[in-house]
This record gives sequence, C-alpha cells and structure tokens, in this order.
Amino acid sequence: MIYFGPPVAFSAWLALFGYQIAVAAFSNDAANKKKDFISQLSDDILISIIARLQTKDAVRTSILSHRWRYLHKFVPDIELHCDRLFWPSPCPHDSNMVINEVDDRFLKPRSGSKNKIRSLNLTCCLMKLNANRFEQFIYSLGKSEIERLALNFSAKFNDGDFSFSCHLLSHMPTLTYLDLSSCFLYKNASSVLTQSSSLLQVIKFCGVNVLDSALECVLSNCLRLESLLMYDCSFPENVFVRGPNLQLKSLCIEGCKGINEIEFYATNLLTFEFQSLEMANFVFEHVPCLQSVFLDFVNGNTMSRVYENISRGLPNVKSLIFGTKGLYQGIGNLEFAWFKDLRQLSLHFYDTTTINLNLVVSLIFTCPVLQEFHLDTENVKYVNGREVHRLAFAVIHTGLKKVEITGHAGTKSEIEFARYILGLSSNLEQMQISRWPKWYEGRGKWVGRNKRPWSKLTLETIHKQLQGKAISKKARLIIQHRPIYEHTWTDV
Amino acid sequence: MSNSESKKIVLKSSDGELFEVEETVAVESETIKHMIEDDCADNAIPLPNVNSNVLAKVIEYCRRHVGKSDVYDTSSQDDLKNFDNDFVKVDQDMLFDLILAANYLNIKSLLDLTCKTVADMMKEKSPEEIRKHFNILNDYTKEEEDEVRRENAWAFEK
Repeated sequence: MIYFGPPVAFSAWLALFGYQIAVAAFSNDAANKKKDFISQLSDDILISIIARLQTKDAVRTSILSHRWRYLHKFVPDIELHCDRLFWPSPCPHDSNMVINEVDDRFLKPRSGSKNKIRSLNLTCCLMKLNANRFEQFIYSLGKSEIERLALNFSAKFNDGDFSFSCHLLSHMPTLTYLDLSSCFLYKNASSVLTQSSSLLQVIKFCGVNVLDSALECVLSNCLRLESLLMYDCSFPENVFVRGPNLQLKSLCIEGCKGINEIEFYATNLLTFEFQSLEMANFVFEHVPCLQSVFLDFVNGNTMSRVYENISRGLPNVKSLIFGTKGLYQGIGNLEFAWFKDLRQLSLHFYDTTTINLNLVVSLIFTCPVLQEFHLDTENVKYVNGREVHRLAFAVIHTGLKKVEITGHAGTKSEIEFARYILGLSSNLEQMQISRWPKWYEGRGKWVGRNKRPWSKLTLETIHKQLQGKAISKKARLIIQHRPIYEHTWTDV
Repeated sequence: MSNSESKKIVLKSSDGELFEVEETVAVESETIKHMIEDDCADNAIPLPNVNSNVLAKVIEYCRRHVGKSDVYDTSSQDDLKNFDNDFVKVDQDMLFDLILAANYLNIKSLLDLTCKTVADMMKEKSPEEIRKHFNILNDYTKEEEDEVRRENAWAFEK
C-alpha cells in the first residue's frame, strides 16, 4: 500500500487506508455477487438440480445459455402430458409423434451414457399406435434401465383401444413399478415370452380391460411381484391368481366389472382386499399365509358370503374387515369356532340394518381369540337383546382387548349393547365410543363423516350407564366425538 | 447417540484448519466413512476440496442429522425440517460451496437439500429472471436462441 498524496497526520492516513481496504473488499464482494457460480457446477450436479423441477421447467432451462442447452435431456424422472406436448392441438394426438418426442429427446441422447432414466410418467390420448413402434419404444426404455413406468392412455379419447401385451414386460428387466391406465391388457399368443428375470414389485392397473389369461401371464412372469392393485378394471369371468412361485403378498381389487369367480393359488399372499358393486365368488385353493381380508360388496350381503363359503378356505385369517348390506341371520345357530385364529374384526353396514344383541354376541363368539372388535353402528337399529342371556355357551370372552363402537347415537339400546360388551370381556383394555361413524375404505385408509355432537344429557347418560360396568379391571373407557382415522397402507 | 468415549476423527480443511468431530458425525459422509474403513484415518483426514467456512457448516449439518433417520418420529422430523430450512438461508456463494462439499463428501441428504433449494429458486421464474438471479450470461445469438425456443416449443407455451 503506497500513499502518494501530500503528507497527512497518521490517524488520517490510517482512516484512508481503512477506507481503501473496505472499498477493495466491497468491490471484491460486488464482483462475487455478479459471478455466475451456478454454471461452474459439473453437469452431474446441474442435472440433479434441474431433476427437481417439473419436466417442463427442466426443458425450459435449455434457453438460459449454451451451458444449459442439453442438460434437461438427462434428467432421471420424466413426466409428460401429450396435451402440453402438443398444445394447443387437441386430443387425440399422433401416437408416433408422442413416442418419437420421448425417444428423441430423452432416450437417444443418453444411449451409452451413465445417466439412466429412472421413471417415465406419460399421459396420452393416442391415436392408433403402431404396435411394432411401441414395442421398440418399450425396448429402448428397458435399455435405459427404467425403474418406474406409468402409462395413462386417456380412454375417453380413444375408447381404450390401446393394447399392452404382457410380453413387453420382459423388455424392461430393471422395472420395479408399473402403472397402466385405460388400455387393454392382453397376452399376445404369437410373441414368445423370454423367461424373464423381472424385478417388478408393484403393479397398478386402473381402468384396464384385462383380457383372458393376461393376468396369469403377468403373474407367471413377475416372480418378485409383491403388490398388485387393480381399480375400475374389467376382467374375464374367471380370474386365476396363481403362478409358479408366486411371491405376491398383497392384492387389491376395487370397483371391478365382469368377475364371476376368483381362484387363488397364492402361497405367499398376506392381504386381500376386494370392493365392488358386483358380487363375486372366491375359491381359496391354497392361501396358507393369508392373514388379512377386506370385503365390501356395497350392494350385497357380504356377511352371508363370508360365513357361508369363505370361512372354510381361510383357516388362518387374522384380520377380517367387511362392509355389508344385511346381516347373516344364520349366525346364531353356529355353535363352534368359525374363525379360530381371527384377532381383528370390523363391521360396517350399508342401509339400515336391524341387529339384535344375540347375533352380535354370537358373532364375537365364533371368534374365540378375537382381540379387536369394531362395529360401526351408524346404520344399525338394535332390537331388544334380552334373549342374549339365554345363550347356551358361557358368555365370557377372554380374548377381547379393544372394542370400538363408532357412529354411536347414544340411544338406549346402543348404550345397553356397549354395557353388555363391558360385562362379558374379562380382559378388556379399552372401549372407545365415538359419535362420528368410521369405516374402512381400503388400502389402509379409514374414513367417516361429520355428525352433530351428542347433547349434554346424552353424553352424561352414556357416561353414567357405562362408567364402572367393565368386569375387566384394566379396562379404559374412552368416549369421544371423533374417532381416529388411521392410514397405514404404503405403496412401496 | 454416541457415548462420551466415542471415537474422535480429525478433519483438515483445504486452508489447514483442523476440526475434531465424533466418528458417528463424520461417517454421515460416505466418503469419510470409506476412508475410515480403509484405515486412512489415523491422522487428520485431509479434505482438499473443502475450506474451513464450508466444513464448519457441513459439520453443523451432520451433527444435527446424525441418528435422525427415524421417519416415524414426527416431532423430531419437524424440528429437523425447520433446521434444514434455516440452514440453507445462506448466500449463493456458500450454497454452491455446500453443494460441492456435499457432492465430494457424498452426504446424500445434504446434496438433496441444497439441490432442492437451488431448484426452488428456479421455480416459477421466467428464463430472464433465472439468468438475473444466478448471473447467468446469455451467450446465445438471437438466431440460436430462436432455434432453442423452436426445438423446445412446447415447454415455452403458457
């Protein structure tokens, strides 16, 4: 630091010196502020930054500068809607253009590079697609080591005339997750399936028209498949859930059409959920691990179905949840343990159902080791249950630990029912009574609806009638307006 | 949590400063973890790509995150989220240094956090706004820029 000006006092010189340092620091700082730090990052880091943008925003970064022009082509996750891709031209779009766009933009540039494609989510209203071109496209996805694929072929535009042949799965050996919407699933008889080492673990079909033997084809080729979810799908009359060494652990069918019977030969199946307006038969040939079953026919008497022909095929079921229209009247005549291993039972009634205590109590006693019992009484009307005292067997249940009664209006007979349960469960730990109803909606989700709270008088009556009535010393009584609606399902 | 006798590791920043940290904290970095596994950690571990300012910040992050992978403990997860939000409120200089450090030290959650922070700065901005925010110099000619726009026309529709 050299000072060329006229001599000044030391303190003034010092001040000036300090100022000049400050200026130097400031201008350095200002230069920093103007510096383009981001473009100096490596390609990999820039790609992992724009990978966190929506695909469209990622593509837009191409305009920033030369440095950014092609980076977006290597993002691992791609989500495209053809109506955005071809905006403003309306649906349906030329399928080959859609496929070419994805292929040219995102697949071809990474051939041979270490930037693999992780997921593709393509929503498209396609016009007749050339099957060979599509197969080639699937093959390229497989080459790029795709892990997750979601294809939605908006059926409202093309009437679901898009077809997906199950043999295509063998072209994508790294795929672990597949989500297909609005198409036909078929087994192409002429295509030979190479013995696949598919890694597929989760498959979702939504609005898919599953043709004859297509499902068996999928199951017998996806040996690691753990979870199969099918919503609003159409099926052939007879569906077979079977395959050599089938690993399938959870199967969920919601809102299906056309099924008459499902036959199970599924060694590892743990969970089965079925919810539909149409009734169906189930033949449980071999399901030694099946523990948890949810059945809801919405329009039918699920309960009769369960008791008349399902219970025999499910010796080991531990959890049973059903929504039913009507009760199984024959239950009072059952004199032996029907579900000998059942630990959890939940019942929800559609429409007004008349129940008498006798039947509900009999129901509990068909399950000797039952631990958790849930009854939604929103649509239940009780009739006098005095005859319950005349049951032939001992009316003490040693298993029950948790009882939940939801949709409880606080009527005299409802309170009497709760009191009766308190009086017969010798090991009860907790009874919950809630004003709001609660029922199972499938996939781990419990739902309910708003209800006006109990009046002060009703609430007092419930407390007064039930407090201290439990024969189990450790029983806790919880009376609440709104129950807890759990959500436990995980979609891998 | 680590007990009081847990092993200490010494890290040496590019400008020669030494940082003593618990091994449990240091191994949040996969890079350091491998060095320790390969017995390269007898003396101070040199980190020639990370200066002391940045290293101090990275250690602060790792100290906070160590052993906090229990995603079901919602209250501690919320605390951690707040910490993360405050942690990335730094100038761009530091933010990009953190990205480089997270990348070099292979700390996945920190790389995720910092990359996401930068991506969030780009969201809902026009290209001009993004350039201005990051001082990116537009080195396209008018013709080139038009060409890029044409190539990617659908992404520039409203």
